[in-house]
Order: sequence, then structure tokens, then C-alpha cells
Amino acid sequence: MSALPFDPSQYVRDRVSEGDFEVSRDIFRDPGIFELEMKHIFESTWVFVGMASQVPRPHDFLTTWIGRHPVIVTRDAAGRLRCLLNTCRHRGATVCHTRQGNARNHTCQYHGWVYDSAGKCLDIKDQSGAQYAEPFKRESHDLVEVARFGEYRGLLFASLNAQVHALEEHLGDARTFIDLVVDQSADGIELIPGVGTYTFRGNWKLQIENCLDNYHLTSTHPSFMKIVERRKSGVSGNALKAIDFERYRLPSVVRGGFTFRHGHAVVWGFNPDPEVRPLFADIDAVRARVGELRAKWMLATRNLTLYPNVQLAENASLQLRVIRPIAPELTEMRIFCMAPVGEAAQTRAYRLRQFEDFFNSSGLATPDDTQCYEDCQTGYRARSLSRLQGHHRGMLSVRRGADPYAQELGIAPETSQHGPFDVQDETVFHASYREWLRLMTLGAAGAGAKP
Amino acid sequence: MAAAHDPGCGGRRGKAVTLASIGRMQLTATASELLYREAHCLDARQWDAWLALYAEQCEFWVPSWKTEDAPAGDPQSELSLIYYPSRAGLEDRVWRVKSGRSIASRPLPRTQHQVTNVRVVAAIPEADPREIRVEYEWCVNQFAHKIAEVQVFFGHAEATLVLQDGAWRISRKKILLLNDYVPAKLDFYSL
Repeated sequence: MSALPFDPSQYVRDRVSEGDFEVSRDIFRDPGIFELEMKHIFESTWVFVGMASQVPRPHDFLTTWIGRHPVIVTRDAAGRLRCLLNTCRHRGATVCHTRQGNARNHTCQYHGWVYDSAGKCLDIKDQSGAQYAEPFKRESHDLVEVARFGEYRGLLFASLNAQVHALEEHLGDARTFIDLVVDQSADGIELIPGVGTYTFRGNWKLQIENCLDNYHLTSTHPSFMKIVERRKSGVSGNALKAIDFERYRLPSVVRGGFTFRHGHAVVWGFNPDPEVRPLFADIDAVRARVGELRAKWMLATRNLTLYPNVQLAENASLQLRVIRPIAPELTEMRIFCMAPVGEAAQTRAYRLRQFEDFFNSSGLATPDDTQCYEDCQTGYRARSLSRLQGHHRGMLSVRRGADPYAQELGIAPETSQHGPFDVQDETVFHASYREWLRLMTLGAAGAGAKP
Repeated sequence: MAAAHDPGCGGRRGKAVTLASIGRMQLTATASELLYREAHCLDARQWDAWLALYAEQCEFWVPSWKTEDAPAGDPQSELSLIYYPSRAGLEDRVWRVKSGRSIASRPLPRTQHQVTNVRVVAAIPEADPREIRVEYEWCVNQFAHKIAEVQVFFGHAEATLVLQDGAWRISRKKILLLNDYVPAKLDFYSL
């Protein structure tokens, strides 16, 4: 980043009216821009912090991050969920030390200050003889609660910015795609025990893009596609059924994408082989409960990005991905397998096998994606080059507003695109960069994130 | 830690050299020899020879972790890093590496497998074993070319070895990866 005042519009140039959309490589590699992203995006807008089902009982807690801030999501004695900064008011040590747990009180291990599960300071060790003066006594000693905390259908979001717009407004019609996940059983969804954690040496926005990228499938995943073909033909003795991207190239398969305000986007495709989906085992009950139309959309392949840090990817199995940027060239991923509550044991096992096959960092598809991110990041070291040609496919097929598929869902996306597989649209990435530009511009102006 | 991973203490009880202790030493040597051969096959990229060390009906399981302290205990209801009920899943992976089509495996890291602390925990039947259950420790050092980085994976393992057609084969393997904070990707050749 130059010494001149930061001008975000130099890095994202939205000129779709002229058929162009320019994203600078600098926003993937510049440490100064990364710090501003943490401040103006991750620490200004809403970010995903966990699932309510991870902390079901009073005093349950989990630890996570909002941008660079360590936080605790905790359920207090009364059952109310809160999000607190995980740092003792005294000298700053973290007070929660495990990924999750249950504790009535949290005692700082350094000097022994005690907080309850609502973050209230219960005890300052040896306070009576401390000779504290008035300024100290006037202060609250409770753990600091984040500015905003909200839940949408079991998904928990928090923001460090008191001025951020309402969570419902932030999510907008992307909520319809959360509903298509949560409503897969009458009792909602749950995270299956066990987490996958991995890092990649690449910028976090590579993950934002890849989840929505149909173009890479046939070139990045040929080994996975060939293995699926070998299983189908019986050459492989592995009978596991998986998503067959080759079948999505059939002219009869309708696929598309929507973008929403605030950076969210989804790519979807009506499933040519819905019977490979674990959900299919219960599809009659699902149809009876949610109707034919929503059941069709539940069976569709859907990859949803909720900007800036969470993705719900449903191709055969169903994945929750949480993105944590650590440095311009380093990102941490936490992945969970999601499932309808009450799913039959046999279906649950099938879902797990599909998840491990495709999504795991030790699976047969994701490692190829991740390697490509790292290769991109290495390529970005060509500092003299700024322009990317990667946000241009589909420019002639995308439209403002709702297409018939959005209309049948009753949603009003910012843009819609549908058509043959070969388009392999890249305009679906634009939403995240428009939000990047909006938040970075607000931040640069010192305004904070507002609607 | 799961009780199943408590180190066994086989062989330490009697000080006198007995027929039983000689038998146990022989079993330990048999098991170690197979595990060393497996390690060599992976390091030498002799993929088909590696597969041939497994019985067709072998279970291959690498659990995920649920918390800092608890690995997944049931692959049917909890997430695994890898789980296969038979060798066919491993065959898929070997095909993938050999095909040269997997971006993640090209170029392959140079790997060095180390197998230590081999402990025979059961021999069935004891008089003339056709099945040996062992626990051991493992460590893989590997060099990842593109990022010029040394990576280390390590953990505990359990294996069941069976005598089939005069040769010992692996019929079950459970690999507990202790550092499950994976640098980008993990495949069978790094375990």
C-alpha cells in the first residue's frame, strides 16, 4: 500500500455496465490492506461465531474469533447467549482456554479474577487490601460484551460495531438459503461431533471465491471426477456414491447463481442425481412438510457464502465452513459436517462418508482446491502485475434483480444468473467485492459500517 | 485419551527368558517387520506393494478430534479424517496418486516414516497365532517442495495383522493423528 491516503476504489473497479469488473491482486497480498480488512470488514460487520446448538446448556461456552479479537460465546445461568471478549480486564490474559466446555465461572489463571458465565466480575483477588483509588473503583470490571450479538435460526453472529445494521437486514434474502438447510428436518440441523481444522498459505478471499466457482470443477477436480466414474462403472470396488460433476454438464441441468446485498451469494444447480443425497432417504416426509418446491431446492446443489466468514456447501453431504484470516497469506479453516436432527443412523454414516470423501482436508477434492489457492498466492508475488482476468465470465448473461428461479423462491437478489453449465459464471463473485468496497470505503471515511 | 491408547506393557512382566517371552519377541518382530515394510513402501512410493500389505476387507480409520482431549470414537456417527470399511477406499487413493491428476499430490512430498514402540497386545490363538493385535507410535517427516517446508505428522496407531495365504496382512488400522491442525492437505502417504 502506498503512503497516500487509502482509496479502496483503486482496488475494486465495478464497471459491469462496460462489461468489466476489476479486482486488484494487491488486496490478496498487501499487509496494510489486510489490516484494514480486519478493522473495516471483520471487526465492523456481522461475522459468524458459532451455532446455538454448540452451547445448548447453561454455562456452556465456545471460543472463537471476531477478526483479530478472541471471543467467548457463552450461555449464562439464565440460558441467555452472550458474546464476550476473551480477555481479563486486569492484565489481559484469556479467561477461556479450550475450544468449548461448560463452566459456571471463569477464573483468570494469572491473578485470579473471577467472572461468571455472563461475564460479570465476581471477585477481584485480595481486593480488600488493594488500596485501589477512585478511578479503578468507578470502572466496570466485567468482561466486555461485544457491541452486537444475534441469532438467525441457530446460526450465531456478532459484531464489534454498535452501528451495524440489524442482523436480519444484513442477511437479507440469503436467509432463504439458510432456511433450506435448517428446515431439512422438523427439528432443525446439528453439527456432527468432530471438527476438521486446516490452514492454507493464501488469502481468505480465495476461499470466498472458490465456494462459488463452477469454472474450476473440471480442471481442479479431474481425479475426483474420474474416481466417481470408476466407482459408477465398478472398476473401483468402493461403492460410495458422490456428486458427479460430469452429470451437471448435461444440457437438461439448470444451474445458476444469485447475489445479495452485503456480500452474500449462492450458486445452485438442480440435481441430476438427487438419489445420491442423504436427504433423499427422507424426501417423502420432507416434501409433505415443506412442499414440492422447497424440497426440490433442498435437493439442489447449493453453495452459499455469508460474507465475510461462513459458507454452507451442500453438494452431496452438507458442510459448514468457517473462515479465519490470520495474515494476508495465511487462512485458517474450521469445517463441520451438518445433518438433520433425527436422521437415521445408516443415513448419518453415509453422509459422513460423503463428507470425508469430498470436503475433508484429507479428502479427495478439497486438497486440490487448497493447493490451487496456494499456487495463486505464489503467483501474486508478481508484484508488478495488478489486474486479474478472473471476474468476467457470465458478464453477458447476468441480470439485475430476480430471474424466474428467484421468483419461484420469492426472493429479490441483487443479481441473478442462470444458464448452461458452460457459462461457469464469475459475476457471482462480484457481490463480495462490492461489499468489500462499501465497507472499506466507509472505514476509510471513518464512518463505521452502516446500512 | 481413550483407554484403547494406553500403552500396553507386554513383555515386561517376567525377567526370566521363557518360551512365552520368546514367542512374544517373535510376534513383535513379525509385526514390526510388516510395519517397517509398510513404511518403506510409502516412502519408496511402491503403491501397489503397499496396498498388497492390506487385506481386502481391512478397515482403515483416522478419527477426527471432538475436543482437545477426545478423539472421535465411532466412525458411524462422528467425523473421521479418513474412514474406509474396506481396501477399496485406499485403492481409490492409490489410483488418484498414480493418475497424476491430483493437483494436491503433484509434486509428491518426500516422506520419511518412522515406526517405534511396537507392542503386541493380543495374539489369537496364543498357541499358534493367526491374528496379532499391535499398538505402535509413528512419525512422518515430509518435505513439501512448493513451499520449501518441513512438515511433521505424528501419533499413535493400532493395527490388526492376520495370516492370509501364508503372509501377514493388515486387516484393521486405526491411526490417531495428534497434530490435526493440517497444513493445507493430508493424504495416506503422510500417515
